[in-house]
Amino acid sequence: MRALRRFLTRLGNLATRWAQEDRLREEIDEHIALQTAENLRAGLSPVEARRQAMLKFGGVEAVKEEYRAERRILFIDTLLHDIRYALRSLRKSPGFTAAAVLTLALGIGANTAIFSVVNATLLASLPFEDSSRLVNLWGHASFFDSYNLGLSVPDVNDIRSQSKSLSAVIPYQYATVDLTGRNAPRELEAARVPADFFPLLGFKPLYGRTFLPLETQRGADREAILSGALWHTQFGSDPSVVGTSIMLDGKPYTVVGIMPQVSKIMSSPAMVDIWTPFAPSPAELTIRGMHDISVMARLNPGVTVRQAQTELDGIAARLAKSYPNDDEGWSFRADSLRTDMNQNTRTPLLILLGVVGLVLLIACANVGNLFLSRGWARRRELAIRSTLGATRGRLIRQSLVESSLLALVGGACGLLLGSWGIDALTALAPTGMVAADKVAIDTNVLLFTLSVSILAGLLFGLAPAFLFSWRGVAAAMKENSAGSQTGAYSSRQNPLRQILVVTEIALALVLVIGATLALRSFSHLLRVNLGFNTERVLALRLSFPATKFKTSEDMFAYVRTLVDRLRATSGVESASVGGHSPLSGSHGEGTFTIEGESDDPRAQTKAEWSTVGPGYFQTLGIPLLRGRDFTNMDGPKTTSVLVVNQSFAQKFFGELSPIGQRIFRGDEDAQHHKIWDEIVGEVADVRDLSPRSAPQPEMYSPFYQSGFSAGKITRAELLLRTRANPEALVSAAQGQVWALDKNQPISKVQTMQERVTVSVSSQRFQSFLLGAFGALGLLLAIVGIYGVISYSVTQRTHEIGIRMALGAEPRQVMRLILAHGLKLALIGEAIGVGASLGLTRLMASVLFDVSAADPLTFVGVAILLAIVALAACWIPACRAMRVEPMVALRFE
Amino acid sequence: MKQKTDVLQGTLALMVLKTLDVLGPSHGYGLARRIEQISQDLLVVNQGTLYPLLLKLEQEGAIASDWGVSENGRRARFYRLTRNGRKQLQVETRDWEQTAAIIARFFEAKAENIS
Repeated sequence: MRALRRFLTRLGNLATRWAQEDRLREEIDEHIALQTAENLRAGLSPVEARRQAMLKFGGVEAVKEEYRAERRILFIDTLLHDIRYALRSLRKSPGFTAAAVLTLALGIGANTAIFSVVNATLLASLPFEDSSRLVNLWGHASFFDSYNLGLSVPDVNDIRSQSKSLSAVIPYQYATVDLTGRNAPRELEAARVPADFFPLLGFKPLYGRTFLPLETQRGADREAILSGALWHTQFGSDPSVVGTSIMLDGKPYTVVGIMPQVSKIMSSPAMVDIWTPFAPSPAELTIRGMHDISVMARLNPGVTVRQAQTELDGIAARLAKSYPNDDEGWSFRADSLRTDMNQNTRTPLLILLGVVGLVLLIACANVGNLFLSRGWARRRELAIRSTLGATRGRLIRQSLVESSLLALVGGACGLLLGSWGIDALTALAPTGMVAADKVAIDTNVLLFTLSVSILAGLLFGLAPAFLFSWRGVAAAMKENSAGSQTGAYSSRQNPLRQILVVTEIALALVLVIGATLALRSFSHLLRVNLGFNTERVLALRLSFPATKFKTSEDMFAYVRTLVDRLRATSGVESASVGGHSPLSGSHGEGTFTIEGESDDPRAQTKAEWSTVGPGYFQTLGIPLLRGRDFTNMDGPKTTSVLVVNQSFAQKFFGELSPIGQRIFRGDEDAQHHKIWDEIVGEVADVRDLSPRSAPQPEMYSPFYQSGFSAGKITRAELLLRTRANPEALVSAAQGQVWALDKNQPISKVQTMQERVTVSVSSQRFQSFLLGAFGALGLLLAIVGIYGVISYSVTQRTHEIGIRMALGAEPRQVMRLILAHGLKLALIGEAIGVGASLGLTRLMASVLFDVSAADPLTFVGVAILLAIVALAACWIPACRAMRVEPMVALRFE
Repeated sequence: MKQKTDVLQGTLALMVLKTLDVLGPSHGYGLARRIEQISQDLLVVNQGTLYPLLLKLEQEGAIASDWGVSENGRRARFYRLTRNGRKQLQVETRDWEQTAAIIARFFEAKAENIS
């Protein structure tokens, strides 16, 4: 209790410092005066009286010190003192301070920038209520290869009733709808959701309401809810739009609610443009084999994803047994939302985080070296302080304060650099990789930067601490000792510096190897043969509202006219139509059986499937290998035909020609006879999905035969090969489309070149970042090597002088220095190569066509780094060469 | 771990409190002289060490100080015992007497009495 009161009083004393100092002085003066007076009365002379009084009192300064020690909290007191001292000495060596702060700012800034991206994407909280308990449910069929299939409505109902670990099971469907009747027609991303969808996620409408259960019946489902973004851009943020009618897909829908705006950080039914009620068709409601519904669910409190998964496996097994026709081979998978969301970006971001961490380590090593040099230069000052009574702990503490101060200042500058870095990152990053509007410096990032700064400060602040532990301090007092300058002694001071440099080189090697692997991988990606000619191709995507055409003949006629008109447009070399086109991000799949093989529907195989018009292959420059292309003769009334690609032919027919073979894709004609497609042509492979994925077996149906196959076509792509720059023809092409129908929505106009660029954009960005940070790390390491070698030359001037006096030629001296530098570099590289072999394995998943242990890269980078290290030693070596023996011998 | 200075300070504090209790408010110099007198010059402490001790006692709340006028007619700081200090004095006096008694018993113990 007493101690506490004492502590608190001492805390308060911080404020009353001066007053108390005065008071003490006055008291001491008075005490001595009284004693002097008494001595005078006892008969001593005035001088003697005072002297005796002072002797009796004791050491005044010592008493004052003890008084102060009693008065203040020692720890804070010395801390303040250390801080003031550190500031003073930092101000006295501006070069050192600037170099250290700059190096730290670069290292810490890079970390801040990358971490804020990680914070916004991997760590971000999802905008849903209790998002950690939300999961996606996927279907998986053992005989298909795909993992992310849907479920059927009856299955969903069974899961809902049988599952104890899921408290809500919500089916939904994505769709695209066309908004017409306002401004230009627009294609919107939509989701059909049931009534409990919004409550599940905790979304409340800004205006209006969410769907009612009775609205999710087919027929009563003409309601729509607008997203905030759509409401702002298309409806002018006008609340009175609630209750009005809008035209979607040619049908009137009533707007019943408006949702608040959410940023689109992931692909989710909660982040679409518009919602309509989920009203499954009678077929969807009853046919258990229609596995095409997406599902979201909420876990019960305390249930883990794994527990839910186990339960789902059990339910799937039961359903497969009860309904073998529909569900055999099917299982369900539950994935937490966060896992799904971050699948693509997790590894690259973590790699980046590792990379900037290494850069920071190199920066710390550099600053550590700087500190060591400084410590050595101040050795006399430290020795004096030591003999005056400072304990080693005190000296270390003061050095730590200085380094922490530097680190905090460096961290503050790093924060600034980091914020610029964030701006640059979000500007350059491809959409989808980074949720651009959420990447900012928030509390998480600030805390991260602070801890990183403090850790860095501790790290390189401790380096000089090793300096003090050696006998160097005592020996430093001997200024004239030749021993203090011999190579042997100074090299005893140097091991730590050399260790730091070797570490730096190792780290730099790892960085540069990683960056080189990424860059090579990217260049391979760019040079990959896509299988078609990407130059001078323009693509326009059209979508047809379901009410636009009454029959498929109408649509065919419309499209044919359009294609003919486009062909006739000046500047167009050839034109065609297709259901999809390469790299468009969407693709179709079809299941089929081959004639002569089993009829069992479960023996179906699948392949990529597109519909294309005549001249499609020619327009895109895809070579025809066997047989023929589609012609205008191929129509709804003629034989159903098919063209396949080389992979398809090889996979299913081996060396034989596929021409003439027949395939059943599941269609039946009016008399319920199977419709067989005959293969009439084979074309070369095309990388349809992305440059990274190898071509898959693919089959093409004629566009003008496809009306009765998988439902109505609602979109088509017009492809033009132009004679000159495709961009020049954009307005002409659009004009042709709108001349035919001014309400036809054109959802996307793009050149094929653009598409290719976009498809590799995230790899480009990654490689760029890795290259940039690799270069930064290398630069810091070079500076480090230069510093150490330069310093060692200065230390060894005496030794060099002796050598030269004994007859060494300047060239030999230079070789000596270079050999020293090279030795350090090689040791560092050896360690670095070992580390790289272990670490690059982690980036294997993002590499393309390059092995993680690619020998060419390793050897090349090692040689490069050795050359660069030699170059860094060049200047100090030249300096060593020019040492004059007589001067050197006198050098201290 | 109590060092010698701590023990000395502890007993010195006790002496200061007792002195203030018996002789009333006093300034630093007066306290030092009186402690010398009472201990009959057997105890010679550097008078200066008194001041950090006085500050400690004041911060603990055992004594309080105020400006007053010394015999010289000049300004001096006078210290007096507070109620807390009085209580502390009583407790510590009791402790001392107990300790002294235990030690005395040890010194009186003869070899025969210890079996």
